[in-house]
Amino acid sequence: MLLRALIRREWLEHRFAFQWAPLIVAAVLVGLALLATSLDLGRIAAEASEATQSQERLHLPSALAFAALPFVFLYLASAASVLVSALYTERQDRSISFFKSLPVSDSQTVLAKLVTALLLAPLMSIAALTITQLLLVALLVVNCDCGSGLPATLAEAELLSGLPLQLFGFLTQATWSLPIWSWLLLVSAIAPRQPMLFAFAGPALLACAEWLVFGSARLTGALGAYLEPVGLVAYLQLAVVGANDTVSWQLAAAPWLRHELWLGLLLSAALLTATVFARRRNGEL
Amino acid sequence: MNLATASGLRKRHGRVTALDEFDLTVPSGSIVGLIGPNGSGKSTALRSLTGLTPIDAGELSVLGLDPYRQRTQLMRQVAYIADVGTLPRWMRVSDLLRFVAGVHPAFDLATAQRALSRTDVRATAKVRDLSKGMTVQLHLALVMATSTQLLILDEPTLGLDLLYRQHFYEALLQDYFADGRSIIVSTHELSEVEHILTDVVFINRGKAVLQAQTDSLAERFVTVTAPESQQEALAALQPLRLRRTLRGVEAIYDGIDPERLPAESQQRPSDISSLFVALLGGES
Repeated sequence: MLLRALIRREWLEHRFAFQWAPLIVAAVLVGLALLATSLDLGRIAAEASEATQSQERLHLPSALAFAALPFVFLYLASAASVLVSALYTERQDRSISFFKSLPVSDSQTVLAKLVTALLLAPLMSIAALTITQLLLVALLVVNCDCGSGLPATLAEAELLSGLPLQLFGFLTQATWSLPIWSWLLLVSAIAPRQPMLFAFAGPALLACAEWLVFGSARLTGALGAYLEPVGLVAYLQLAVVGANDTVSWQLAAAPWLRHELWLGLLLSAALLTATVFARRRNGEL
Repeated sequence: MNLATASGLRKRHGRVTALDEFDLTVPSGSIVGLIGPNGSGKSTALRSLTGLTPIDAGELSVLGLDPYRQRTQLMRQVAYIADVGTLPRWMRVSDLLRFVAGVHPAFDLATAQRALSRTDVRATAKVRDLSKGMTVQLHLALVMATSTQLLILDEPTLGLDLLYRQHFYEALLQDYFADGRSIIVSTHELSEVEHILTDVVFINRGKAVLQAQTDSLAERFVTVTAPESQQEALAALQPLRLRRTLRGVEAIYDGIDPERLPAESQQRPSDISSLFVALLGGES
């Protein structure tokens, strides 16, 4: 009940970033597709028809994978922006005094912010993406005489069968990048001003110090690994070889076998503990 | 029974001593005024009581709990308003009520909605679109609908005009102060609270200069007026404060024997405002 109320609060505060922005992107993509088909309907239909006949058909999962890119980038930008300001804004507008007057612990507050940005927001992005892909497939069926109906085209597009792999990919990415997200949250709790600047300046100073003192970039490289889009590999595999391919699942699960992921979880635990401690001592700016 | 006790509290912010051997007792069913000039340590004292600030030394217990270590438990039984401008401005009123209902086990949503239905505050409005007066009404509705034993108010009416300040305190007395509940209110505007206080604490430079029941002040503190010719005689009796007035001199004493006062003098119980100036005027 309490966590639900806290998560709902987070959702309300960042509703534009997590809910409306993906829906706007979906509307724009579908709108563009509509515009394209209405402007050049005959040629597209003819080409699609020829492709069908020559068996060089467009690989639908690959084509639809491109639609995911704006959603992925939007989500990453939204999550980073929300997390880096999550515990800063409440100090700036002094609402921290109100929130701390309620029987909610600092760890519950931090957890709610993390769960909203890392678990709920991706679900919303995936939902918006799936709706977009469904509409694009429907448009394709309506506008091209491909010989197959909507159910067959949907099956070919692997939208539903690919969902588990997509969700697993997002979960993997969220877990892999947890040190980055935790760092942003810590910065939001301690930065006296311009948290985004502090978020970049900290690692940059660390990199400079390592290079000046040791002449190396090992630590920086190790930390930079958490920026790798490991979870998206699953999605790309889905696009290339299909959702039911066991190789896709093997590749999607590969990051969980890397020691960096587990080290990252330990690092995240330390960063999040520091975040809780910082919020506990925080007043207004 | 005391709801809160603080003994020998010490707190430093860097080089500044915010609390210096500060003592406080909050009896059940009392309205305690924490009165002091700006920077006297009022907010630090109240933030310590609510567990928002850790103390450096001393003993502190609120409702039998250690505020800093057990803040979450404590805030189930304590309501706190830093000032009415701290409500999240991006939230809609209805969402704010639902949120508090979701996180506070002692909050009654229906009571808050009923209280707001008697005001101009619309449930669909965002907090940032409310006037200051409406924000006060909203904050009051939240407090009144929360069944807590202790209400802590830190300069709650800062920035409000006289009408809203009066309304705020009237509503507090009418709707909150009952059934053994207690209120601690800090302010440097003594005039707006002195008529509602049962206990008063004067704080200056982090120290409690005076803590007493307001009823006992009249017995203990006496204001004496006399012709100017009696100035030396009054000064010899070691007043808390001695000053010239248009009609002569005026002195305030703590527990003086009336027999020792000059025959031509007149006595009356000291009011809280005069006491405040007498006790803190020379130091602040």
